[in-house]
Amino acid sequence: MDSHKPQSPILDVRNLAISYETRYGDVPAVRDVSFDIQRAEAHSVVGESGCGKSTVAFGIVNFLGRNGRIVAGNILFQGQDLVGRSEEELRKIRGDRIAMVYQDPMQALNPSMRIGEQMAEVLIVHRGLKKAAAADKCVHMLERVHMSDAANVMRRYPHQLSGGQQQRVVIAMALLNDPALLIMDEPTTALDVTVEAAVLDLIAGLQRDFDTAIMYISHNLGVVARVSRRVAVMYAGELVERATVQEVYLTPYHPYTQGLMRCVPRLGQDKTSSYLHPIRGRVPSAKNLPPGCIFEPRCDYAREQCRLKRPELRELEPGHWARCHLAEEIAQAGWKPAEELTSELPALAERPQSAAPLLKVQHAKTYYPAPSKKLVGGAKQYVKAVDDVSLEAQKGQSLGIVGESGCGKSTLVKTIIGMEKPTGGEYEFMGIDISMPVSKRDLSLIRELQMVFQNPDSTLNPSFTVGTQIGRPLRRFKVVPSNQVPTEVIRLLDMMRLGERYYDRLPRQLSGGEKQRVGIARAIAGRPELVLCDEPVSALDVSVQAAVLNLLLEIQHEMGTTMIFIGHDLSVVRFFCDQIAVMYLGQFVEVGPADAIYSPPYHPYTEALLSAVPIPDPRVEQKHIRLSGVVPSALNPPSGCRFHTRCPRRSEMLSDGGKVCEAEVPPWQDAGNGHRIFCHIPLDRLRQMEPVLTIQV
Amino acid sequence: MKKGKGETGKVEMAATETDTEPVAAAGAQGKAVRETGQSGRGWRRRWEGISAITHSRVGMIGLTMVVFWIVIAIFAPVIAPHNPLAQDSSNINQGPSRLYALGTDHMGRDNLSRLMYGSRTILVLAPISVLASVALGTFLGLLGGYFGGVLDEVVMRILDAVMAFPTILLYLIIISAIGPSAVNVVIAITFVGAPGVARLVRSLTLDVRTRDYVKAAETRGESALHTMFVEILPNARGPLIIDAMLRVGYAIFAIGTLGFLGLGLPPPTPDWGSMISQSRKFIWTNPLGVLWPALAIASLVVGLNLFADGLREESTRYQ
Repeated sequence: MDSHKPQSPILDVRNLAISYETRYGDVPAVRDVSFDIQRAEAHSVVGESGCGKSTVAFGIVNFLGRNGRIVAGNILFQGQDLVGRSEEELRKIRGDRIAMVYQDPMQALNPSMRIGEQMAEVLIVHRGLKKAAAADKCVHMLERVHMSDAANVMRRYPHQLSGGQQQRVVIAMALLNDPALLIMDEPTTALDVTVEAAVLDLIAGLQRDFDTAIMYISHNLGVVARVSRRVAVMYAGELVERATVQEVYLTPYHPYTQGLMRCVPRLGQDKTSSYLHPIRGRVPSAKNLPPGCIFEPRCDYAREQCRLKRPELRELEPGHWARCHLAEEIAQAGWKPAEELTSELPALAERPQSAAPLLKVQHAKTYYPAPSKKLVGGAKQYVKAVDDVSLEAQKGQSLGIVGESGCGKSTLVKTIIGMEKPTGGEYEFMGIDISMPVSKRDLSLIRELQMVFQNPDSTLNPSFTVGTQIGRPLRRFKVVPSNQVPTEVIRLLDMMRLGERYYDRLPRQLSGGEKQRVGIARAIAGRPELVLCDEPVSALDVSVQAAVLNLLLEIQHEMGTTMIFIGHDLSVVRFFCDQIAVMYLGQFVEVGPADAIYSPPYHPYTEALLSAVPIPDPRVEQKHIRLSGVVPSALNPPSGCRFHTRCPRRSEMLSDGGKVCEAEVPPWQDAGNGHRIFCHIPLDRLRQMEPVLTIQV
Repeated sequence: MKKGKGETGKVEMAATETDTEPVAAAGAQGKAVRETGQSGRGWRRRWEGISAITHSRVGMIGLTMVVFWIVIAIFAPVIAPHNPLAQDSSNINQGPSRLYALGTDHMGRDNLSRLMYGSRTILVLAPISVLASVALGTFLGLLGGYFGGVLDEVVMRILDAVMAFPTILLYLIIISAIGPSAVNVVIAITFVGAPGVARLVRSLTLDVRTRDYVKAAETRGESALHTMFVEILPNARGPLIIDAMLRVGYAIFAIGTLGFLGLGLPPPTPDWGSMISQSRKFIWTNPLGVLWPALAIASLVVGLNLFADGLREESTRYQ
């Protein structure tokens, strides 16, 4: 395709179509996909779940399973076609020149073998190396993927490594055979944001250091911007746009790509000044595709022509391909949000702060007893999941809690709602003490505190219809007389933009976003004062995410509901919340108004988090700060400041080189306007920090 | 979904399979059902699950065998050629003849009629005893799995103690203690079967308990009974139903064994187990007398097993 390049591509996929055979006939999962990857190039494939991006990868390595097969097209690897070859022939052509890295490193590593053994095995079997030589090579490779203490890691078992280290091992293993093509399928999705950032740095450096072409599959637009130069956007089994990252992000042609760019909150956006524009409708099922353009049913520009004729992938500018009849026109006309959306822009004015907060938690502690290692006796140990946390939630506002997995944010919320027994602290909600489990609470109190869960697949009971499940809290809390329950359920469904026809559906008939909306409807059915949202959108696709966030905003706007919003995506939390608390290892390290958190002065941990977030905007320049080491165990947290073991700032910004951080618990420093930082470094020094994010113009 | 589906069922399935915006009819029809109560809808859904079996050849063979015996049991009084208790002293231990299609036993009773009537007792007792053991086991398993801790320990250790005995020994002990009768056979099978069910339900509960919808019920302050029986149990029903099918097979074996040992139903009730035991003495002169009831037990148990296999195959494919 890139004819100006003389060399032949490593991988050249032409008009690839893959179908899965099912009981209900053939399902065309991938249709007419063409792209090429040059030598030492990182090429990304982005798309939402179920768009066929992994299927393409499986097609390339011939892992389609028993019911999948390539129905049309060619896959040229170093000039030779892989389609229609026998296993034996494939082995000859491909040899060990294609390697694959999957999402979950724990699945790729054998838990009963030491790292060294399983890595060396690759070389001993494929290359016939001697054991010692193989081990040497492995250590060397581990060092090349920036694994600290490589020799030691060789002797460990997979479970003794952290997620980030495991993924490094898997990448090192994939590189051992010096592959010409490395396929990475969401390699950082299961990792925490700071770990992800480090692994992404590694991947970005791979093409430089190894002469390897990378096919990088991801759903995350920000990640893609960081690792690759060119990107292909897939939608419902077809490739809709393909260009350099710059072009796709800044001047997208295809309406779907444009829609994707509009529905992710940019870091720095907030709910008072902007609105997320979800893509309406839902992805068509591969069994039931529209006859014309696949995006037509959801497209704002669709015309008669789009309904009838399927567009071809066209080269609109050199190297910029899009599958749209009206691409030129759309690019010229620009985009305006539909009328109905603009009129609904919630005019969120600053609310006057009432004197008494709705929820006030002081010195909250939640410890879990840890089983003692000794058989008999031994001092009792505790996992200090939440240790001395104080927070206030103002009525009608949203408090965001961000932090990496295992920092105790979920435990904190569970303690507030009464699912965990607090070990200590004072909990006051609407002036009532709530430091007791939910079973001891009054029904009227229970009604005021409800929760929205993270995983859409487990939030609804698969055995009952949507109507029954939303009706249950209505009946239980006697919100409306029992003969009016169905009417009220329908009202709630309408409010969730689902409509009455969902009343009798079972959860398995709903998509992820729809399930999440039903979960929200169930939570707000009792018209609670406070809704605790535990990562409500992190398991959803971006286009759906926007719709759910908007919905939550609307609820807050209409009902004045207070929300506590847990998240790990800093852009989303920034967009949604008025107040934000940053949590690390059971403690808050920084609390303040949302905009204050995202600009200096920062707590060093907040600074590191911000610099790790993948940003879907190639113009944004991010400071490069990476945390070393792993999160210490909550069983035995570090003395003094808990962050001191990983803090990149203390030695340079404190006069004593940071000795005080190891010995003393830091003070809460007040930066004004409710912005407080839990750090030894003087505020003046913190204020001098440069902002993490700057936009290049 | 090839056969046996109502029009409405099809609409619902279409929505499931294609995952697209449903036909407007589905909404309208849903409304009608809601006004008339939810039961119709529930049954349709259940039928949908059961009809999945039609895709499994093994399951269908099993189902045919089971249905064959059920039909015979229901219509035994109509189709049996003779009175199962009538003795024909001139035809003792005879082979198949025009008068007695499967021959006669040592007292000159018609084997065919006795087999037909025998299926009635076994097909009533086995399901009842399995239902009872599933009910008891489910309750104990839910209790242990949901509450955990000391309660779980106590319940499970007691059940382990019961399971430590060889089953046949347990049957013998129980029946000889309370005496042979239809009711006591049911009691014995319930007692012996419950621990296995309890273990299964407990492990399913431990899994389902971690789901968010159970947490949601807890944040609503639902009672433990509600959470156990409304939130958890319905989601454990798949494996539980398959297990129960297999258990009906075991129960038939057990009833046969007890009959054979003379601990089942008191004579002269036609009972497959006791038929084998009585004909055993004449096995050299009239081997068919043993063969027929043995075949009957085997075909029913195999049929149930195949049916359970088919169900498992189809239900796991859906998940």
